[in-house]
Amino acid sequence: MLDVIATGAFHRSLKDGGTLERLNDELKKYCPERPRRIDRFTQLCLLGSGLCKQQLESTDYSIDSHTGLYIGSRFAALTNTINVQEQMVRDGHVPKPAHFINTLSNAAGYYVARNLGLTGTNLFVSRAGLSTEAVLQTASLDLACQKNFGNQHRQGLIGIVDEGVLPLSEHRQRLEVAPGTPLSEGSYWLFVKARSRENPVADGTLSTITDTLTFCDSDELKRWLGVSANHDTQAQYYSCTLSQRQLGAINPIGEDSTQMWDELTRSSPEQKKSQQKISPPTALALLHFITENRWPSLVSINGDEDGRYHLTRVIMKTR
Amino acid sequence: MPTYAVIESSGVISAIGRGIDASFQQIQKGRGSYRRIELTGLDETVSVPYLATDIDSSSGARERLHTLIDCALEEALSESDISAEHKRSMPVFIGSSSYGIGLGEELYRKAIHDQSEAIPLPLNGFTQVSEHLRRQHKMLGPDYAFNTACAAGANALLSAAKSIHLGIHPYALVIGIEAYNATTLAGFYGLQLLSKEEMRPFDKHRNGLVLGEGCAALLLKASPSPDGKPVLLGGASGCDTYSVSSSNPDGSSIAQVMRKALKNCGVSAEEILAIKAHGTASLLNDEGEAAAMRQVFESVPDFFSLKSYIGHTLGGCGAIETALFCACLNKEYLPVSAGFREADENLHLTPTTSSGNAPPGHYMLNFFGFGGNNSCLIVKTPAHKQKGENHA
Repeated sequence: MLDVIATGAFHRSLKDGGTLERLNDELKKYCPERPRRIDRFTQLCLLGSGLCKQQLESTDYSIDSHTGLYIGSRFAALTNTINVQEQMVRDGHVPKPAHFINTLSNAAGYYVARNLGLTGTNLFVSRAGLSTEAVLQTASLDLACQKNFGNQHRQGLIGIVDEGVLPLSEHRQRLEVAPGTPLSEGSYWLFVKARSRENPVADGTLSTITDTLTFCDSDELKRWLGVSANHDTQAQYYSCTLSQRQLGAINPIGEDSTQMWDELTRSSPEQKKSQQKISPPTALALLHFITENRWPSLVSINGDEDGRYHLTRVIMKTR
Repeated sequence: MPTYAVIESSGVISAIGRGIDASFQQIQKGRGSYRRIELTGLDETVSVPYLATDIDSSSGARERLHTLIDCALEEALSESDISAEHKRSMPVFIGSSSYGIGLGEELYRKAIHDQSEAIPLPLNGFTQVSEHLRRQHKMLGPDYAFNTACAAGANALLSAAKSIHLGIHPYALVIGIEAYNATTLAGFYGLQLLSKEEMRPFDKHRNGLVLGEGCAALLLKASPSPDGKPVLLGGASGCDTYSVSSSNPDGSSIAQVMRKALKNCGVSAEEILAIKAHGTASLLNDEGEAAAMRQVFESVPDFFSLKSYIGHTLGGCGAIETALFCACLNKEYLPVSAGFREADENLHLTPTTSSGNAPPGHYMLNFFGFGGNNSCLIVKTPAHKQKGENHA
């Protein structure tokens, strides 16, 4: 289980024909030693982690050098990698060293670690549109096994980041979505402490991520929900990939259980037909749930093209 | 009672052949190699050293990727008695630098050639390996695509071992893969990191690396005892913020992760019988790794690099080199550090110059990558193992 202590979020909707918002001025607030020659993905990572650190400063906790760093993304530094492909394949040029280095997905993690003084685990992991689930599972695994350092609880900084890629018309083809589908970019961060027998619930916990699971099929999911979640009658359900009717066919959900889902849909009318294309999808709902602090628990369930289901359950301020 | 992450079985394909046994036979020859290939479509002549597999060079990128996966996976599964249900549901931890970028190049090049709408990098993320495992091999467990440069495969192994140690899964599959692609070769050429000849790790005249192609699959199994097979005790992963493209050459950050790996596994430095070094034959990397070994060990144990045999398989090397080293350990064989000829007095260390005995005990494996990713694994081979009884 992961106790969420602080969050940081940056989200922008993207418009066809528009440009990406410049982040340089905003970054100055969070990067004392502003790195040079970094790409947008790294900028977004620095910005989101900086926002999370800022919120952490109002708590009794701090980021120390042993804090694990976990970044999940569908594409990582896609714009930079596209530029390298264009230079090499289309124009016949050997990639420039700085551009090639920045195609590495973990280059962003390097700059975040440098900015925050981290020396511990620094992982980048991806699972297409379900990279939020992948990075939460990875961090849970790693933090559950980390040795304690002194009296510190095991702690980690988790980022879920997808950059805006222009032109949007081309990017929609990569995402295999219909022309005109609304797209966004985002950088969502959580500072967490791992719960264990030796590490009881941390003071100041906003919420607790209790489960991050992948099921091979709907029968497995149904069995788990029947045993572990159906007693939670106040749970809010959410999915980026399933309609409420599809989810209801797997697990009956009452009207009261879709308040947050309806709210997110209302705030973005197009989302109903394109929920999974909002980047990064699950993270948006997760951060909304935690920061709104209006519902007791959240069960996020997403399906994939191969019949699997990925579940994340979060409980507010559990004791 | 502890749960061991036993390396139940493995499969491999690389420049030295297909299969664990064939690869081991090539390692016994103790010689590295390299070939040169020319990259086409660039506005300058780019000739690079490369160690490809025996897959037909006319194969398309998708076919090439799938052949690599199938070859390694089928060998690993054929050596195991894993049930169909466990195979279906076990987690898959993948380490690679480039995933399907070769496929992206191919599609983009074809679209330009056909004068159709050309979308650069028309890929849906890093899904090319896991999708094939699900659709071709019906493996539906959680998948993790690690992309932490040359430490990706090692990080995949560490996470897989954790899933076993925590009792979450009875089995875990690790795939390390690097398929031919022009982006990586041209990128390393641009960085001026490629050798003009075979790789010579830790040699006085080392002058860079040779990239390689390959894939390994390692099946980890939760077991109350080592069961006569190598055990992945665990290790450590750390971040070095000295430079995005190299570890601190003073060895301090590498030494830190090596010490942490020993501590995490409850193993003392004196218990390490030999080290599979990262050994990329680049000036700074070998310097930093040698310095770190001197800092951690009062008397540095035998060490060697496998990269002259198979090339640097980047994000795949964590799994590929672990599979090859375990093949050697199963035969109690310590390989020659191929490519080494003359000691570098600045390193104060010399790798293995002849093959030797690798008795049961503890071994260290180092993997370092761009982006500050340093990882170190500790493997234990059991004392009661029957020589030649199995391979992993």
